[in-house]
Amino acid sequence: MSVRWQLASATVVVVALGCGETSAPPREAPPPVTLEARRAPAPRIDGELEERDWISAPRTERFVDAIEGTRTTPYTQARVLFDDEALTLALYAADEDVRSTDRMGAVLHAPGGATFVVEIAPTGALRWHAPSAPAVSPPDGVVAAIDADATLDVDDLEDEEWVAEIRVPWRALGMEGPGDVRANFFRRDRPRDSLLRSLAWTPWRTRPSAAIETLGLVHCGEVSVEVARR
Amino acid sequence: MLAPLWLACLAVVACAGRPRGSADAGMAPSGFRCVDCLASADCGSDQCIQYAMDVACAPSCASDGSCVSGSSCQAYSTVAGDQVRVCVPDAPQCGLVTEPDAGPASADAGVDAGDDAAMPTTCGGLVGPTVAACCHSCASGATCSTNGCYGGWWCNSASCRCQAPPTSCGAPDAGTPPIDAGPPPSGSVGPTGGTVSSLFFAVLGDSRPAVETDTTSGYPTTIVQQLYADLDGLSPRPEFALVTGDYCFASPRGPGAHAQMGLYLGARATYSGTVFYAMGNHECTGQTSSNCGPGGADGTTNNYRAFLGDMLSTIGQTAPYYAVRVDAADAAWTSKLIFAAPNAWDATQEAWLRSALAEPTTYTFVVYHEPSATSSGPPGLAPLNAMLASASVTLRITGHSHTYYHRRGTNEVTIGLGGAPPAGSYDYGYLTVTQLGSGDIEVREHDYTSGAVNDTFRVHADGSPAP
Repeated sequence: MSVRWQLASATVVVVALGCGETSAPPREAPPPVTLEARRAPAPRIDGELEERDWISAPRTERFVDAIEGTRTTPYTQARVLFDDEALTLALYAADEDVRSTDRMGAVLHAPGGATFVVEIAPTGALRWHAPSAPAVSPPDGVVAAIDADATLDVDDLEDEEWVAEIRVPWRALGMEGPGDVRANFFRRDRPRDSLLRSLAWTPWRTRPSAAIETLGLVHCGEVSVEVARR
Repeated sequence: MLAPLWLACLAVVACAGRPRGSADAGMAPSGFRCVDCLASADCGSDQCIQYAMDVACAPSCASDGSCVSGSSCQAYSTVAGDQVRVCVPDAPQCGLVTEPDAGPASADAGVDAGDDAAMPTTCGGLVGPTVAACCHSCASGATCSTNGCYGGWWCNSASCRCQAPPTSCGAPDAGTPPIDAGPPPSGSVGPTGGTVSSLFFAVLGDSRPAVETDTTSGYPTTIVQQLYADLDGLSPRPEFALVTGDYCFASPRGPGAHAQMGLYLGARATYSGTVFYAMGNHECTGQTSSNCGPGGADGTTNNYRAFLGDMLSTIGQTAPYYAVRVDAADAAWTSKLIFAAPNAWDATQEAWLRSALAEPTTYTFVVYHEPSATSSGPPGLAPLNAMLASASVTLRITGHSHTYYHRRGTNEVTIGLGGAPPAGSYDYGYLTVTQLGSGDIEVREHDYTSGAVNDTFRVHADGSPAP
């Protein structure tokens, strides 16, 4: 069993070359978990991930408990495409009971130092805010769509999943164009007969959710990377 | 290009809110605030709670006296699922309707308390209020139960967190009791059925990838392979296995289903017993309401064709619905396994099913994909439900929902954890179904990662609950 667990929780460790990260983590900190974003034409924002680039894009490991860092359910994963104009996020949530209170989203920290949170509900309601701050109107060009295989707010054993596609222009992050972004992806969900759960790509444990040490790296450069699986 | 003005404003807020311990917006003096927190650490010394339909930061409290005027100390759930007591305003805030979200009061209201006498003190890894456990949720002054929770909640010994009591844990001491099944079963079951000393079989369900693809990208081959290897490694080994459907997620006219089912069959080869397959909606078009086959509105899709040609041909079946007999070697009892296909429904299947159900046997197991409660199910589900309501059925076995589900007191069980992304509280896993020495049938849900039994329940041969 332990071997299987290690495989399931394997972390992609990347040595990124030439990244433009300006607020580097402490020298002793381990390298951040990295997701390779794929350069691709802008996908249609419809919640469907039928484009070839989405199908073949690298994915995060399944999200873990945001506090404990342990394997947990429901299954959740993210992938990222980028082009000259924007970063596009796809968040997949297996969900036996899709509720309008559910959330998925991302913490995005641009090299300039500003951090933003974009989150979306299965209703399609989109929120944009700074960490621990009230929501403001999303900047121009931030668009999103949901595709849900579910009956919203009805517990009928029919729900299977919901998918969010969110497009964030580089300029919304204060960036001129493509570049590496420190990021985390998260989800809040309440499975049937259970308590609310917070899941994340990389756990924040007891730290604030936007602490730089908590964030992974979304590599959006053309520079090749060396990927090593633990 | 210069960032717009709003960006500058947000950046100020963002930078001000980050460092722990600084006197900034994120670490404002303790008090209820309508902010979009993700973690309690985002609220400084306060808690990030789910507040009605949203989230908010709220200060911890032990009693109403410790809250400012106009607010009271109530039980809420943090966004991480921990029980806390926090000061919340008496008048609705944040533009939302206020109601305690997941504290003990609402949890009590949401749990079927009528069968408390039948509920065991533990249920798999869940520990009831009267048993000592590792939880510590009572620091805020609530009256603590022996398990470390309050308000009647149970302790999850895997995470040491409190949660609402389980709604289904039918057997006493569901965690680790030995199976009262007499001597190890013997006999054999092949594609056309067989004879055994007692029934002992496994059930899996739903092995499709997360999203539709005409390739094998994302196919959960490793998980399917391990699940079947786990079955093969059980002692005794299950005599046979059933699957509740959904072996692919491919466009109905593309080549993906054939490719994905090829992976499935390769992975399934790690189990040496016979496997019987039920049809899922993804073996038609993928739509829950779809209906394939000669009489169906969706016709013969590639997915349907692959299911018949690749999967069912391995057990000699030519139609998506069929029945198999497995009887006692000493003729002491009989059983039939009926595989219905509500996503390939027509008058022929309806007549066949009526006849198959009428065949007298001691046990009847009916396997089909969509659970009975599916609100927008396939054309065959309503007539199937109607027929089952008037038949003697030991167990209804369904899938579709990527989780495990059994409502206490019923004879329907849902298992869809065969590789499709787990959608609820349960991780990948399978069921074992055991005929006990008493003649009752025991169902256990097994976790793929830990091997733990998460839930157990029993039914009599007629499907009524058994102790």
